[in-house]
Amino acid sequence: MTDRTNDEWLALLGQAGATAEVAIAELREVLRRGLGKALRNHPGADDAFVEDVTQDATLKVLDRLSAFRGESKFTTWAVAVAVRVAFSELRKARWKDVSLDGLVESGLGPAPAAPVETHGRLEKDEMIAVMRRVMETDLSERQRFLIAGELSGVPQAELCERLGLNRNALYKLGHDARLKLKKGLLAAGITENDVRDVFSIAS
Amino acid sequence: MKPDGQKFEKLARFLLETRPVEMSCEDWLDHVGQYADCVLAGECIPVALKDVERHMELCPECAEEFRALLEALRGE
Repeated sequence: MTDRTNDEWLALLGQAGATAEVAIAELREVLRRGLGKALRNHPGADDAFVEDVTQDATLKVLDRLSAFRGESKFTTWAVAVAVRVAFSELRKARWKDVSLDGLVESGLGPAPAAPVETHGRLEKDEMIAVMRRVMETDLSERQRFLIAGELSGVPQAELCERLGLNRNALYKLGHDARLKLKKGLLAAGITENDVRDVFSIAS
Repeated sequence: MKPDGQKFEKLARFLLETRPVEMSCEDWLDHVGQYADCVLAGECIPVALKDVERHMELCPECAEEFRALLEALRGE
């Protein structure tokens, strides 16, 4: 992309006036080229989309400069940020008119009314019933909504918007939910090996 | 397998990968550049970057972004 070092990029982008403008224009070109390749053959990502998202991504990279840790090439980091901007837009566009009403019911199905008694080797239906029951009793409504959304393929940007959270807070909510679910399954006598056996998941 | 079975199998896989401390999507974005540079250079992935891989097991969106990032960077 360019032989410029990370320090040179940061120094140029941090300056004022014409020097920075030239560097920003070069950065924009790096991102435009990268996004063009990343989004090639991607539905909904035509030239106009790449052009628009390049502008947004350039601003995002400049805004996040202080987060660059210098552990990679600057351009690699910048393109990674740009790819996130582009995919967030594409996912949002794909889901913007989709109703998420009834997501929990359709995504997770009904929880059994009473605790599920398990004896010996579990069948898949029994395991699913226990998982539903633990979600109903141990997870908050927001956590159930998030899990149902993730299992139904709803993009994180859409879930963030519906739940009023940023992506970090959304991840934390989901992580807490998974930990509670693991704990709940263990309390119901279900080990990791049981889960692997039932769903035929290798170690 | 019934749709329910597929969803709950996906959930089961997520649970098996779940650890008490995990990298968030924002942390992942901070580290994925270094990971991508190693992959593109054909270098061994340092142990410190294993969490980048593990995060992608749990987060299909970051995994999708990583594949796109490699496409963007290949041949540069």
